[in-house]
Amino acid sequence: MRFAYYPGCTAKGSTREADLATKWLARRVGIDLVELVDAGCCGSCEIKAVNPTLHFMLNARILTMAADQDLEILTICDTCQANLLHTSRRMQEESDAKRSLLERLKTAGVAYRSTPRVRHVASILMDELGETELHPYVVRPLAGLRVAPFACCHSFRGPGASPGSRELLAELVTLSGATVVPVRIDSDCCGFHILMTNETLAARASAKFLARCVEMQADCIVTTSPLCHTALDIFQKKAEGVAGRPFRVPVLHLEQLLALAFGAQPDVIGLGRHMVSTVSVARHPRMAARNTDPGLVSYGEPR
Amino acid sequence: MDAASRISARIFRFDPASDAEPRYEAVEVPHQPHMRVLDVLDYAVEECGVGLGYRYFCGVKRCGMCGVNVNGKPVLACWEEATPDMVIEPLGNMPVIRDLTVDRSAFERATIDLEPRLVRKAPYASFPEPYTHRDVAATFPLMNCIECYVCSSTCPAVSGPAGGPRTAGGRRDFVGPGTLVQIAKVALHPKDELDRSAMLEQASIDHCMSCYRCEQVCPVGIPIVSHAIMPLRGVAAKGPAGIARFPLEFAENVRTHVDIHSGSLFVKAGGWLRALASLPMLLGMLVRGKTRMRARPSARARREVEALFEAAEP
Repeated sequence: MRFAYYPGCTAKGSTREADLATKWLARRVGIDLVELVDAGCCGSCEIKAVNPTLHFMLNARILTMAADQDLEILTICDTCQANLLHTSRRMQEESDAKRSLLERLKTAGVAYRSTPRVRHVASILMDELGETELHPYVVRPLAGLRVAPFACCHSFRGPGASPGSRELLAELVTLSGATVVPVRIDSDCCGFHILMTNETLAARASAKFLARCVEMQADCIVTTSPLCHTALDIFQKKAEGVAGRPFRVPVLHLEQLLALAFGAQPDVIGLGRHMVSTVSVARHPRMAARNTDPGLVSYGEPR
Repeated sequence: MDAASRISARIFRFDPASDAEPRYEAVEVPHQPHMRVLDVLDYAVEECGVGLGYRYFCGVKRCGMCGVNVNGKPVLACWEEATPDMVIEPLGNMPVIRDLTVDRSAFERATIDLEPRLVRKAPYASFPEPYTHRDVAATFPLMNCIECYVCSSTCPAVSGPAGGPRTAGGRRDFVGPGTLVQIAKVALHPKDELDRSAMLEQASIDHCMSCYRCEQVCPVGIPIVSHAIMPLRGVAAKGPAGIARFPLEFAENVRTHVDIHSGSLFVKAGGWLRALASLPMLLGMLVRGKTRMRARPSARARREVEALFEAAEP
């Protein structure tokens, strides 16, 4: 299996551990990743506000980079996934909007020929391998670990939504052997998209979820989006400041959680890079009691 | 009544004038096919003698007055099918007048203050005016809004149960999606000639978290974020105070760096003072290898992205 890998900006910057864990995980299950170097930003939720045409064109360029290699796209960020999927839906329409986009892309030197399939790694793992094929990889079941899944809003609502993504996340958490703690409610949002403009309001939004994680005794949060991870992990101290109480809830990327269950050593998947210590997860009593194949360590990327 | 033929509802009761705190009243209602939440409330009052406060006028998803939370989900009582076990509560983000009746006036006031009407300056070209359905295509989906404020009741950017958007120093808290749909109807209309950028800045439109929760709950299925809030954010970004300019800064950052360069965007959006205040966090990120001092896109990628920006200009 070969995929064009679009990590997005955040996994190449402030959440590089997501990139490390994805590469480890892909190698472990036999997925070849051809990274789309220089693919650039998908526009997040900002560029579509000032110029929706540009937003689609940026994403169409990324789609083209994969299509030119005859590859489908693998994403690890729910927002990138939503933007690329929304664009791919637009590019499969027969509409004036699509024709206008094609004209402008041509002017910009982008030869848009076909629309590749775009899927989040979670979806690829379950669609292509499935629970039965993935299960043998679980050499260290995370039994007893209480995990609060946090799927990004963009994964299940809005124009680029992938129906079933929340359920998929819960299934993969269960596959790892961990216990799903249903903390997230529909009106929760991590507040990432206003972190730059109103840190207090964003912190208040993430504090609501984090407080409930503590109340419901979740050992950690798992996200499918490096953006949610940024809000919940890097900015957790700010949420604590707003709430006036400590949370100290570790936040893992889904790829890290699976890699842990598949036998990765914590350092090779960047668990030491988090702002909120993940030691309690890496040394979870039930996990430590399980055997780890030392040979698997060699799958790790150099730090 | 056996379990299959009855509906058990726990209904929120609270009268701020006399109650110290809310309580829940349980009612058992015989199930009828296609029974709606509103039917359950009517039954509670008419047959069980519950002196319940709730509100509706039309009963057919037109008046937008019967919004309630059912099992945590904001819905219209007149349209939502009753289920065997329900907890029925008032909408969020608004003060309770009594029981399920909420005070929507903070949102309604915000809507009125933001001029929800076409403002024309030039004389009409002719009568009827020469414009077609294509000219109003952007506003067309918004015309279905029934002003129920169900969207605003569950918006995480709205400031909480104290009662919708407050005003401080001339600037309001985020006015909520319901109000912005009303404004977008006219602001995106080709015949509107009012520069609305300043008032949208003051309405804190930049606080929308883009979570699409409003779209998810809208009883009439309006794509609120895509068709109302995003275009209005584009208008506000060019406002005179510059407080909603972030999308423009973001676009400029992509134009320069191809990938987002979050460090420079952080400083640009919040200024050096905020960066200084965040120094412990930034140092922590540096120690953990979570900062990229310089993005290094290739010259080719820069050229390609620059070409996209040029070709996308209106």
